[in-house]
Amino acid sequence: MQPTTPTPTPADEPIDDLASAPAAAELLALASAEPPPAALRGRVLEAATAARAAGRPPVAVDEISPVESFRRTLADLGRLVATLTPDDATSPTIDGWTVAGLLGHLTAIEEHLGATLGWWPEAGPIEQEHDHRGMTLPAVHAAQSAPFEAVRARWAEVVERVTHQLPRLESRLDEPGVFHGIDFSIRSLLIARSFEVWTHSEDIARAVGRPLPVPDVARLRLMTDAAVRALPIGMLLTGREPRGRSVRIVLTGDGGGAWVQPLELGGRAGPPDLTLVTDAVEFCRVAAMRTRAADLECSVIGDPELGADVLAAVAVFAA
Amino acid sequence: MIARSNAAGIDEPVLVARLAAGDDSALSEIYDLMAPLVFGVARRITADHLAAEDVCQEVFVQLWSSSGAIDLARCSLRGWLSVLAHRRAVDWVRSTERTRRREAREHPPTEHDGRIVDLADEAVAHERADRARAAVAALPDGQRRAIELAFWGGRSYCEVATELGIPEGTAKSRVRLALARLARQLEEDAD
Repeated sequence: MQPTTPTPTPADEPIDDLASAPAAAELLALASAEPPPAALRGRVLEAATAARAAGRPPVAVDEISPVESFRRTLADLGRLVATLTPDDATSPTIDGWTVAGLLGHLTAIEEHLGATLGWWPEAGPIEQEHDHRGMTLPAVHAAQSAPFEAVRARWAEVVERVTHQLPRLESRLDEPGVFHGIDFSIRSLLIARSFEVWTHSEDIARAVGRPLPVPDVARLRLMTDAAVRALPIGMLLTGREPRGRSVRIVLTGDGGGAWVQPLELGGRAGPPDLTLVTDAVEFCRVAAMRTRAADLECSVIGDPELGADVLAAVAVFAA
Repeated sequence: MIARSNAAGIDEPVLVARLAAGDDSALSEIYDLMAPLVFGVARRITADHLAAEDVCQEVFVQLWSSSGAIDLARCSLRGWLSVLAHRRAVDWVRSTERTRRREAREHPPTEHDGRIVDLADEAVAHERADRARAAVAALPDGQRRAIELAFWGGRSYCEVATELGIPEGTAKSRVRLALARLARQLEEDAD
């Protein structure tokens, strides 16, 4: 056990033996326990949060822009796609689509993204623009019956064009836009695209038995932050009315953090009615509807009914 | 959903996970539960109320700042804090050369301070503190005196040996036997 930055002490000392016997140290400490002065509490907590801001993990996370997040996530998927064989391409993934079909879906979405951002005209007539899956069905079906090399080359070509244009968005992040009929800032659109491309990268990896791609901490942090802040929308979409209520979300592991989030759209954070503690990546998988909320391993401290409502609302990203 | 608690009814893995994620309310909870442990060790070793406050602050700031490094598979949170509090208090004693004052203090380390211990009025905590004191009192006399000097007195093995008039090797084995016995006692209490 190494609870502290060691202070130089002569070797072979009781202090070192105690460090190896924390249970004995605990018992000795219990025997001398004494309430501290009441005023010390505030001083200690203030000093602690001055040393490390609340809400943040102990190790500072490098912050990246949503542009870089999306670029890295596309690159991760590119590395996975490059290893796929024609046999892999016929493996079933989600919604009855094959891997090739899913790649066709992603190709169509990136084409539409570029058109929405004004980089090029739409590839064809857009019907059902509000329907993320439905609008790509022709592309999905075409990809499932085309030679896989052509599907892969088409996806790579579109991604290369998108990646080439991405740096231009750095100065447009707060610009409003509409995608699938939903109002977005470009910042939140790019985070949502990172979320989707990562989720489908996992879909493909699962389908072909490869290790799941793990986003770096900086990207995870963008995604967890977006997923937590989307909770009021999720509550609204799932028919909950959490007037004046707030939740403390504590996400552990890489990309985690702690948030006190109002649950009412436009509401102000107040004392939390509930604390929900779970793993950051699993939380993202619930948001992407790849893990069922009921299967999420988490601790709910507080109102259990509100806890169930919040978990049901987490999946807003896939809604 | 998970729910894990130790013998004291505290879900330490969840508390530590919350700390690591930056949940300052978890730090408040841990402070409320465990500050008497940390402050008591610090005050007993330093024999200085203000120094004990400083040590207490230092320990909880370190807990908050390096919470990702706590390995509950190796020791409990209480154990982690106890070791750190002891180390920081001994550091203070040594760095401020208070040894002489400590030796001359009104209440020698072998005597229990009657003002001590209520652990935030928790009946269970009070009972655990009573059992802990009983476990220390039940040690063979030689081991008890050696561990009291080493833990609450912050002495080196050489100093323990000198004060008890025994060889240093004997001082080491008495302290180590006492530590092993106390650790077993805590495990039995937890069962």
